[in-house]
Amino acid sequence: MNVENRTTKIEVPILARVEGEGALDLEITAGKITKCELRIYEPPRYFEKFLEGREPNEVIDAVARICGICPLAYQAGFSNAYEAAFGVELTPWIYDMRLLMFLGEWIESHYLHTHLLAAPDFLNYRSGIEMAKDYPNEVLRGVRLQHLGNEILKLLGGRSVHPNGMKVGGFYRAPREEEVAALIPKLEAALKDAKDVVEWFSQLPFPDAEVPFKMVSLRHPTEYPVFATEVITSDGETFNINDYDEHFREFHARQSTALHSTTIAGEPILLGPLSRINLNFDRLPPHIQEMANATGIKWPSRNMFHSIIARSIEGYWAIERALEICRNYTYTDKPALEYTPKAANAWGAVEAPRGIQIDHVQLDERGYATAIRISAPTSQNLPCIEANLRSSLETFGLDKPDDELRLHAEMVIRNYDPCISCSAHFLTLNITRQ
Amino acid sequence: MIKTLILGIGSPFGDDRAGWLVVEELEQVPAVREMVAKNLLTLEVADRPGINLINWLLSDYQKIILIDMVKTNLEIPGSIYKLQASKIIGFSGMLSSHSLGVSASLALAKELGINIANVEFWGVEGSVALPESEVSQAILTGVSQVSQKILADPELHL
Repeated sequence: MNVENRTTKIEVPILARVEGEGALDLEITAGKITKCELRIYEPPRYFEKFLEGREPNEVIDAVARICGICPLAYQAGFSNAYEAAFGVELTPWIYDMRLLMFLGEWIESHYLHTHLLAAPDFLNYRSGIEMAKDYPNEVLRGVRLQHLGNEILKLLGGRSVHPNGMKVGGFYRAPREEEVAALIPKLEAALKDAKDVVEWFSQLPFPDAEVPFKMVSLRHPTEYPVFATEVITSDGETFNINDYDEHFREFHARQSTALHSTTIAGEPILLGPLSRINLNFDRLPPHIQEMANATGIKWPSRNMFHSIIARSIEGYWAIERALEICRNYTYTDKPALEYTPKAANAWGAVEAPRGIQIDHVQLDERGYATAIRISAPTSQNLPCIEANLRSSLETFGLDKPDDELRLHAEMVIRNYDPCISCSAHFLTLNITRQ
Repeated sequence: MIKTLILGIGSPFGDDRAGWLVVEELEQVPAVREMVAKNLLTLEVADRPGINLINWLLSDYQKIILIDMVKTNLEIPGSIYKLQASKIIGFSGMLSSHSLGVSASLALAKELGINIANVEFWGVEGSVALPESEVSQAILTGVSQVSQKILADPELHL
């Protein structure tokens, strides 16, 4: 049958190597995509509702349970919101420890994703396990780096999964100097590994595909953004996180239990490592800018497949910054500040590994939550992923066999390292051709 | 004497606590505490050891014992299983950063050329693993049986 006249439905019932459960429904009619929907069918988790009526530190402990990979995004986002609400100004010690712990999360998340989930796509393996047969040293290196991130998390959070060391105003305990010093030689050794990872990824074959989306990230006054209150976009906009709703809107999409986000005008927005590095290249130290330029990529890049390189560069930066913090560490017996609860409306934002995590709290006079809003980066990226799939698959060739289309679709989606469980909730591909 | 890691895997949900409960029982045994004090035995619990299992396999443990609830529906709840790692690496399991299961982690370790012959897996057949659910009497019986079997392992000198 002539491809121009047929309608094909491709169903990807369960997408592998992503977090959570969802499916992709693709309908191709007369050589055009007529339907492209990411169907997020994980049940809603109702975190926002059952956190109402709870005191601040109960919320900080509970939100760590949202995700096993990026628990800190939620803890730090809410800590920032509460601290803004109660007027708590963090000491440099607390800020550095928060940053160190968060860098641990970037390190474990980025190296796990890039080595076991994303890299097999570029090297034509079905899984990280299959790739490990031919690339054992590379995979082991990724595992080592991932583990280092977990060690940092455990140091400050008591455990690497669902850590609970953070509280409003600081931490429950300060690590002993010898505990932090023990990380230094490991971080020093990791720098060489991380540099080698950047070089390895820069040799991968990248499909030629550009995305037109508005890129959005946080902007820190002096360094690469992790915690910040200013948002910037690739269209030159700058605004405070308190004004997020004036620029972006969350809405319910019929096919998804996760909320979607776009600009007020309905344009998709792209959050995550590619946006971060594009918008904050000048905030990387000069030698890391050189490393990024040596990959052969012209930054800023609009090729989503370059996200794997962006993650590896961020990983290098995170290790170097963590090393700096550890070398300057001194013990304190005041790891947290006192605060006085009060009624407030406040926002908190952090750059989670997958993009901006925005949290909003409405509090009564005791500081108890009367309303909570959690906007995870994956849910904000969903319209972008759908739009990217449409253009990417059309460029790839809609006349390709279903299996090839499915694999390419999965690869496009994995560039976003989506966390469906977080966003409420990944991939089954259902393709219909007519 | 060999250096051993005993890792109980589970969650707070009903019968899924099995791995944690075995470790809790073992912690009460003076001979176990003595071996822990001598740094010859490590007791750990985890909800999802995932890829960290690779790091444990690369460390200096000569033997690693994993305990987890299993649901085969082939045996009655409380039944216990002892398997070598090589027997469970073919079990299905999602490979994602959120759910890199025990079998996937062991399969990855094998492909990386890491010795998994020293890994022993104890399973306890469970039935209910839901939030708020209690541990069933059957699983408690299975937990005690696994604890006794581990304590009787001549390699551990307990």
